[in-house]
Amino acid sequence: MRLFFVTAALLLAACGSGKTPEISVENGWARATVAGQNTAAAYLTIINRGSAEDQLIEVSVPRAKQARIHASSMDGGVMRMRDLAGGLVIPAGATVELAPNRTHVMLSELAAPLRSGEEFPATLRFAKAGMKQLTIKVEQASAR
Amino acid sequence: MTLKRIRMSLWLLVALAVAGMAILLFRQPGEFAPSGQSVAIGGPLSLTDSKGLPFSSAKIAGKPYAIFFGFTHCPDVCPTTLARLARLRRQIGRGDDSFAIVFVTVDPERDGPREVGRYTELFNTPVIGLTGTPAQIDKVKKLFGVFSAKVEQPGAEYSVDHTAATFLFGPDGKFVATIAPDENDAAALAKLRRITG
Repeated sequence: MRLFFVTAALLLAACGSGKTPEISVENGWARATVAGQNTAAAYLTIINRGSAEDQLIEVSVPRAKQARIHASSMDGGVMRMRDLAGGLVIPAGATVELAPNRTHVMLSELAAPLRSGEEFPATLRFAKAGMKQLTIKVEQASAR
Repeated sequence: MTLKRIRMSLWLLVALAVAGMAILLFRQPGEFAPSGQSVAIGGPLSLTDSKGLPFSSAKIAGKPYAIFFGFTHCPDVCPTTLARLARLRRQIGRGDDSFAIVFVTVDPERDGPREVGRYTELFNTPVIGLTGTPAQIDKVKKLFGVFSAKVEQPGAEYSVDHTAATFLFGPDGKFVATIAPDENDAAALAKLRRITG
């Protein structure tokens, strides 16, 4: 039954514009934090194997009160961190890495520090591909 | 026609001059420092350590050190920088004494000795965490040419924009180089070897 719907959806998509994004998310990780430090960054890889661009609109992580898509950027030796207004574009055929010193998911108001070895779920919402689930693995702060 | 051409050339010169000044103004501190020569970056530290005790440069005299300015609520570049310094120190393979890693908060409002202490323990290697009064922090920022500014974020705690370079000092206490966050590990390691000998 489910297969039928998936096939039907794929057929419908194929009959439409003929261009669809095909999004997968992987390699979710974050550094461990200590008490008092109630923010953290989560990193992950987004792959679009489809033929249309998509956009990461929102991330939700029950482990933190807030999750925002942030860009770190160097400006004359100064590191600035800002909300990515309008989401993050994932071009067709592209692999976009959310990695240290660049784009990341900023977790704030953590209820408890992130402990090395812990895992927690994250839900990513894409404009076209919809919801994608990902596991974030917490690593030692000095791991990489 | 010729007059027009001369005028255009003059404007081009003005544009070049402005661009040149912009580069001078916005370059990272230390980028122009010739190797091995002392420049006016750094100076005596008079701060507070993670136990709440006074910290002065005398504590690290005769030892090379890497000093980084950040804040404990910084989720990305600060832990990334400290983790890399810890990793590269392991890679140099001469123990924790080969150079000291010093972290100074630019957010003394939120980061007291306890916060700074807990934060520096994250990296499984000795890191000297320092804070101070806002006046002390301002003074040390001036000495190192470090910029920082609070940034309010809608619906969230404030963030801080800050100079993200790591400053390297030799055993003689003289400034040697900076490491930028966007430099690769090989370049960073080569610079660290200049202070560890």
